[in-house]
Amino acid sequence: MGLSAAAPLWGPPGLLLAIALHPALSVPPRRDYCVLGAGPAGLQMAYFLQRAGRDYAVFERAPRPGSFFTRYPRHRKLISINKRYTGKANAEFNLRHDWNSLLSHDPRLLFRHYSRAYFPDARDMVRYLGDFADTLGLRVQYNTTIAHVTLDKDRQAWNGHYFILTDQKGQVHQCSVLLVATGLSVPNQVDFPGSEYAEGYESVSVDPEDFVGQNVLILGRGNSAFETAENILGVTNFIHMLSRSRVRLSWATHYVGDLRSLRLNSGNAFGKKYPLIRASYESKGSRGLFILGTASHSVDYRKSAGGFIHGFRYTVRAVHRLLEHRHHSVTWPATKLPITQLTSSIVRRVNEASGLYQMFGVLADVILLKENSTAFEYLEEFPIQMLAQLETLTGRKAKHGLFVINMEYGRNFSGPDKDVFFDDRSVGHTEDAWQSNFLHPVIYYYRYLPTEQEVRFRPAHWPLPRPTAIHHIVEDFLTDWTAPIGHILPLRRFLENCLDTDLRSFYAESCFLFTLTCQKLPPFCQQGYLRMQGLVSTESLRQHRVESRLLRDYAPTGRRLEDSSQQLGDQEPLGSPLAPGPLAQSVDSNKEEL
Amino acid sequence: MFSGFNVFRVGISFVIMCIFYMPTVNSLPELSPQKYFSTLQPGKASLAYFCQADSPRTSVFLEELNEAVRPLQDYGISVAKVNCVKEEISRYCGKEKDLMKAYLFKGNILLREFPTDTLFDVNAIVAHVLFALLFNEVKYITNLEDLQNIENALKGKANIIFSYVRAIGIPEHRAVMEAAFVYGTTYQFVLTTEIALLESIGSEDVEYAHLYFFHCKLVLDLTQQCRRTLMEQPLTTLNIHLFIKTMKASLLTEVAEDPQQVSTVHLQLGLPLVFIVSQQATYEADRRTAEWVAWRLLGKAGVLLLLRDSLEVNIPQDANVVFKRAEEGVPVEFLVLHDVDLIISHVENNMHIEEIQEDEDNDMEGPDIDVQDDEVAETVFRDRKRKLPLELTVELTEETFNATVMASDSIVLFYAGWQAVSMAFLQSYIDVAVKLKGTSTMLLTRINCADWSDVCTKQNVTEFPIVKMYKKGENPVSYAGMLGTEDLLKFIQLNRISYPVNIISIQEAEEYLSGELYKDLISYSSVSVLGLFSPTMKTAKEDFSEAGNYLKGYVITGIYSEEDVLLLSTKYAASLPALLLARHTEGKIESVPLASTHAQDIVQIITDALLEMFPEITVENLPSYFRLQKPLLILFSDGTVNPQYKKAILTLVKQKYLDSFTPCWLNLKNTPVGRGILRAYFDPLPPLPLLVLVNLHSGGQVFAFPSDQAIIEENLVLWLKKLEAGLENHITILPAQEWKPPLPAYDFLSMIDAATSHRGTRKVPKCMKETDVQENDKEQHEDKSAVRKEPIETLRIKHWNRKSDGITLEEDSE
Repeated sequence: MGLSAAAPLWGPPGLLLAIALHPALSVPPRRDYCVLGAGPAGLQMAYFLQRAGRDYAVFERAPRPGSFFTRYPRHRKLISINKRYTGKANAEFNLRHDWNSLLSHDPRLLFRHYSRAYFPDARDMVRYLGDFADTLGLRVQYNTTIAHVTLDKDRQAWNGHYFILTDQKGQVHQCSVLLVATGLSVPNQVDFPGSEYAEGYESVSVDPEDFVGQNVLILGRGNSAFETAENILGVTNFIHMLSRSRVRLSWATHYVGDLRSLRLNSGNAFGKKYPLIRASYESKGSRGLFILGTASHSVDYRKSAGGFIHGFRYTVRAVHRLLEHRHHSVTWPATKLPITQLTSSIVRRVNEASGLYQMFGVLADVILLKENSTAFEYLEEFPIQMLAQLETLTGRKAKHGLFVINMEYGRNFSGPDKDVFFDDRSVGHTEDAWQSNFLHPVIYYYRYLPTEQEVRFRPAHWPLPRPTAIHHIVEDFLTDWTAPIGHILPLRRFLENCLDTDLRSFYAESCFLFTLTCQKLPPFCQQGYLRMQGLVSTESLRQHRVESRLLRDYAPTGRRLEDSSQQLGDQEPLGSPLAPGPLAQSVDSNKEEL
Repeated sequence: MFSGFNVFRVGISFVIMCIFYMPTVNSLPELSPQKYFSTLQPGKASLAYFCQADSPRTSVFLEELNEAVRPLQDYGISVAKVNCVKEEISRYCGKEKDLMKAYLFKGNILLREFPTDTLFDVNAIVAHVLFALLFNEVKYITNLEDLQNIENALKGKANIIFSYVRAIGIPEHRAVMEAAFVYGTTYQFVLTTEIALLESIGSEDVEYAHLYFFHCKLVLDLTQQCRRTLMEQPLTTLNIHLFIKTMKASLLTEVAEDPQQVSTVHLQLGLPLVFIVSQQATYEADRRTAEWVAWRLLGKAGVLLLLRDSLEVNIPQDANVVFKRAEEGVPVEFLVLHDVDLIISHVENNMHIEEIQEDEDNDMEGPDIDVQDDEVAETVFRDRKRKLPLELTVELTEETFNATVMASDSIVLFYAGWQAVSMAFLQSYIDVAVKLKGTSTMLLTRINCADWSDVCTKQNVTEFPIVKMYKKGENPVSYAGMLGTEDLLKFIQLNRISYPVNIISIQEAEEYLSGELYKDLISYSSVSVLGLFSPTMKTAKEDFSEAGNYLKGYVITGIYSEEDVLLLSTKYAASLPALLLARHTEGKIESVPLASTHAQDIVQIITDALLEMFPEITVENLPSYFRLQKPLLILFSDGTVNPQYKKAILTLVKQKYLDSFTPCWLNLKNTPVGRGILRAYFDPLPPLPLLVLVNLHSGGQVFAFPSDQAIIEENLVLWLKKLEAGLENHITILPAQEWKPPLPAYDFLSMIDAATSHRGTRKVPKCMKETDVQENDKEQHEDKSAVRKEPIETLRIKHWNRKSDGITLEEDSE
């Protein structure tokens, strides 16, 4: 997605700070939520507010949504991929390869219905955003330019103040929460002798004819520069490209804003370009002011996809969940499950979740353990830099330990100018999983919720504080982490050792034996079998069980020991004795398999 | 044929041979062709490698050949390197350096020629040479028919040693050939490398080498199969030797002397001895038992029949087995083991220690944490190739889900293709479909949530597997029973009608209670419940309806509240509101007053009423009785329970002696896993039936009713009183340990720490010249194992210092 946009007001952080205290003169119409901008981020937020039944309005200066895309990128081709066929049916998974759709419950509102191109045309995006707003009936006030924003102190207000918005007609809007989704505005200003001859990307001609036979110097080597260069390559004498840093190719950095197939990028002056915000996307200056979309990219600048639709659609959802808890006492959505589902719930998410995958290192799933680790709550896509504040932000308790599921590239794998295609870069052995290079799931276990200090002063290059234990699921080129031995078994062992319990599954027959020969039962028998939901094995599985020697075959075979005085029990074929002690059994069964 | 070898064969000691594995100083004689041929003696075998005089003095092959000199000499085979010099042209001298071969001569007859790449190491050399020489002694076969022919030909004549090795020339092959060299005249050796052949004779773990002893000599009836004994140790020369020795030893020896003094070949081979104690009166039976044990322990221990009557020393009166370890000076153990299996497992457990010690050198790791120890995951994986008749159920997708469940009454299985428990249950589900094929109005469907995650989430399915029933005009119901064919089938069948059934006449009520009304359903619900209400009891009726609806699929419920309800309540002596419980198997109708009419309480009353007084406990029903939190009084029975015992216990129940217990019985024929339970309670196992009190909920003590007493009321009462008074000793206490992780996990945190500190101390040159790097790469390609051992961090740094040659663009100054 292109970056250097020209919104009228929002973007320069200076303006955010310049919000003046302003006494309320009259009682203007009051809204709980005001969203500035009906671009992808604004519409995405409007969607969540609408679904939650909140009082909100979106203000858009243009007559239709997505005005940025009516002008940019100048050469009309988006760099966000639109992979329509992934070979999988899983809609959540498919979002990993759909970088343009916004999140909604309506499968018709998927971008693949709007364009067949892998790199789609910007016009299709404009059409898509318009449909999104119309179909869902989002409340957008078009042709409304917010010219002025002030703060009005009020103890009654949610955040201690109201945001007073004044539009171009002088109409005043009072807002409890202000969500700014206006994109980035200011083109880079260059200042050097001769800079007066330079033409900016925002205004440069897109007609190659204008450059015939000329020598062209392009400042910058980002996606915009290459987009421009490619367009005029055929007609110019020479093109020189100049920039401060070496070319970054996104396949080397894993950062989508870096060059992909030699295409568009924005500049670099990070400090000037992005406003100062917290990891919760709230302004550091004004409580209740949130930055959404491209401008929120400072949280994960040059790391993850937060500056792009396929990233911020998830961060917007996270912000909405935080707001739901803060202002409406709706706790962060979570699924409560018995501990026997722990391994499965992680396997499920790492295999299909798109938010984890796109916003790796920024949004992570969190598993909060219940007392005695018999159950857990699964929270999706929490901004992990806010981990220390999890309890107050989500309304959930983390008293008994937690897991964080994050997706990561290898620590030293990606970076500018690193050769990502070096030999032996892929890791195939489970014991080497921690050296995996490609994006793979990493699970952190904490006995206690880390403190703010621990998060802030975490070890260099670690996305999270040092955990009690860590597990890497070995990388897989197809991001398919369902191999029974390669992926699921090591994960279970890790979880078992964190929780100090046995997370294996057992057939009802085994549970029956344990019930009558042990005082304690493994969780699977306790939560399944004893609740009359045991897993009965079929005959063919029973056969395999005997063959695998994981259970002794107790079926009588008829032969009796004809001893002198005693009548004896039936004789059984050999197998691993399923000893009443849990440990003896497992060790034995393993030995049998060796 | 090879009479010359036979001299050697006899004298070879395998112990000495083991020493030969060590590097030898014997060097390879280097001769000219003429000289070489002059040394050949008639009848003697010789292996010669012909090479060009100007070829390098050393090569991998020569090193290996040099190492093979000593072992081959022990078999009377000489080895030489023949240098082809220009003056003496021999036809064995190849034309080019790389076409040189080794030749095996017997006398001056050429037997075989070997390309050097087949003789890749010392094992291959020895194996190939012996294989060529022992052509007659070792039959190489490729199919089952060959094996059967050999077997048939040798019945009553000789025994067979059949082995499978993965390939010719590997160490296992060498071990078999060395054994064949020694024993080839005594036994027929048969060798194969065909895995299919091994599988067809029913072997497991076919990835390993196997060696079987076929006891064909004993077989007189040609239609009979030869007994087979599998060698369980790895195929090494020493192990095969020991194995054959034990096969040679007599199966069963009778002795009448002090077991401490007895010695057989087994003890010399390091194997223990098992004495089965016998007396004259039971001699025949004991001998049969001992033979049975001997076959089972063949190759693991020596078995002897100890005649107690003619014995001078005293052995404990109750001991029926004596165990003598191979270690010298260890006193014999007198054991009371009433089960063949106990004898076998005693021997095996006591061999273990030795095995583990042996293993230590080869296998330094403990239990392998990469080995599956989850029985569900393992069995599902093993069964993954079997095709299920999935077509009997409808596979749903996002597009078809809503339309399907709305169009017809459906059962939906929500599962995940990668989850083992789901896939295990899918098999039962398909079994249900097979049983219902063409008879049910209920559509059996399934949806894979790994594909259609959103559909499952929308149906509120967050865990797997889940079964839901969708019926027109009703909310979907989650199935909450056992994940097995029987219970799910019952659920589906009972749900053919809706509950509670509205009964509209006295006659219909009587038919309902007698089981006539729903004849085809009562096999799925042994109890029918009828709620009796007067027409005005509105809330009570509503609550009952709610309870009946809640229990649908588990029990048949009906409701009667016509004006003439009093006729029924009078007949069954029930004051309204009341429940009538018709137990169809017993033909009894009971009435239960409904004091509280909360739906929850009604559900509780009904589920309690489903419990029996003296049930047969099964895998399926234990949880419902376990819930009562009372000690279980279990009568273990091999087959149906004796009616007299049943009567005795039911009498005690009626006399309220058993109120604080849950009396039940277990049929070992229906619930074979009960044997595992008995084994945990008793050592040794007394004869069945056995009456046991298990205090599952507090303390875990297990008490056994004395097996020498008859199970009659008086004895039981006495025993219970003694129990209550604390005068009975428990026979065992169930282990109370927690279920800990079965095995450790990889400690990645430590590995990361180690790598980090490692990186800190080791300096890696910052810049490398292009050539250095290339050399480095080469080394790494050549030695992959070295790559793995080197810390990966340093490796990467090396690679990154390499200049990227992918894209070279002009570099700017910072």
